[in-house]
Amino acid sequence: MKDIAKLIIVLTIICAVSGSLMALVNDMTKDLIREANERAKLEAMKSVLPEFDNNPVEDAKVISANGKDWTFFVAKQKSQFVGAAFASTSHKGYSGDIHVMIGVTAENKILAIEILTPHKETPGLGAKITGYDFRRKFIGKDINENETKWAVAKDGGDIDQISAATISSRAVVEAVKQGLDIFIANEDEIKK
Amino acid sequence: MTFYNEMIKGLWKENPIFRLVLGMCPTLAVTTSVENSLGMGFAASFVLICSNIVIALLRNLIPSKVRIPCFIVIIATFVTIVDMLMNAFAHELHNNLGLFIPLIVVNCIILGRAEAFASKNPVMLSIADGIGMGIGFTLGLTVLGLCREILGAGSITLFQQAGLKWEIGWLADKTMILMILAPGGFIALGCLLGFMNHIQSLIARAKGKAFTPPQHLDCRHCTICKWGE
Repeated sequence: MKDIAKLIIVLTIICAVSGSLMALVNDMTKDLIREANERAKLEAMKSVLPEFDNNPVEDAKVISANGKDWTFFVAKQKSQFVGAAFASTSHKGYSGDIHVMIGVTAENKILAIEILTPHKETPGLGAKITGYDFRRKFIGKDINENETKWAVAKDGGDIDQISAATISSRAVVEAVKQGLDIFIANEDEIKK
Repeated sequence: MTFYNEMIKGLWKENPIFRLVLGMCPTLAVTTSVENSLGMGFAASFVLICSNIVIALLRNLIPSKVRIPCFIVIIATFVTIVDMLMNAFAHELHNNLGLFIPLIVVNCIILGRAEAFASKNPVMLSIADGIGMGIGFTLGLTVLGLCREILGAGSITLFQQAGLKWEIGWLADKTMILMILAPGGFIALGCLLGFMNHIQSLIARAKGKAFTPPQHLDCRHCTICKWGE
């Protein structure tokens, strides 16, 4: 009996100390972690937008579609719409979700895309989607489906896939197309 | 002198990857590039040293019947703290390693050293053991990462964000993609293990002896299985 009491007390004390220690560190770091995540997203957003003089985060428009909220960061120059940036997600990555930040200009052309971290694609293969060699294939493409076939070349589309990484390429194209569909459907609202 | 001996044994004689063959899960999973190997090695070493210190300090207070849950709680605490600190202060590195950090909890090197060494030895020696094993683990991961990255991707990446990445030009179109996929991990590890044994047998032969693997590193030596005896 005394033996069992000792076991329980020791284990309880160790767990309690561990728990409080983790709570302390969590308290110290949670704001920093949130800031770091926000900063990474903001940087990705800036890199896909044309030059602007407003605050795209303040002017962002939130649109509910497909059961979730899409945030469109709107870039303006002298109060004129010059571009929008938005994040889209594909669940068809080779291992896990792929988040893509897409930038569209006022002329409805893709300005740039950026693959958001973290993604879990195979290093050296699928992870090549983050490289400029792949991302540049999207630049300048018209978002209208009559102009650009949003699929990888293997499926008869206009985007060349990365060899040996078709699944990852396909997922990025899917994410872009999904986002663009929402953008096109709400174009007037976003460009207002 | 003992401090030095305990430290140096982790490098070659009891190298956690090539001799103890412990922690194979992260070893095979993260060694696709040198950068990932180094990051995983440092994170695991930090946890190993911290957990060795605490377990050596508490070794006389923890009843042997609940020692395994106690060790796991202590290790998991350090891993969670490392995870949060890394996420806050080295965000880019955390993005690359994020997946593997929780794996450190179940990395058997850390539990293995807690059980086999820190729970039986004073703090200073446990620190030495932690440092030595940590360096040995990092070294092993790096060698494996180097082989796989050069053969599989034709590049050497030390730290991508800082631009420390070199492409090996003449290898660019001759890479074996297999080497950075999962099977490549097994192939590279197997070849390296064979190579290590070969070197050891050569050394033994030069001394005029037959090579025998160290018996005390055998699985039978571990006390985890002897529960209740």
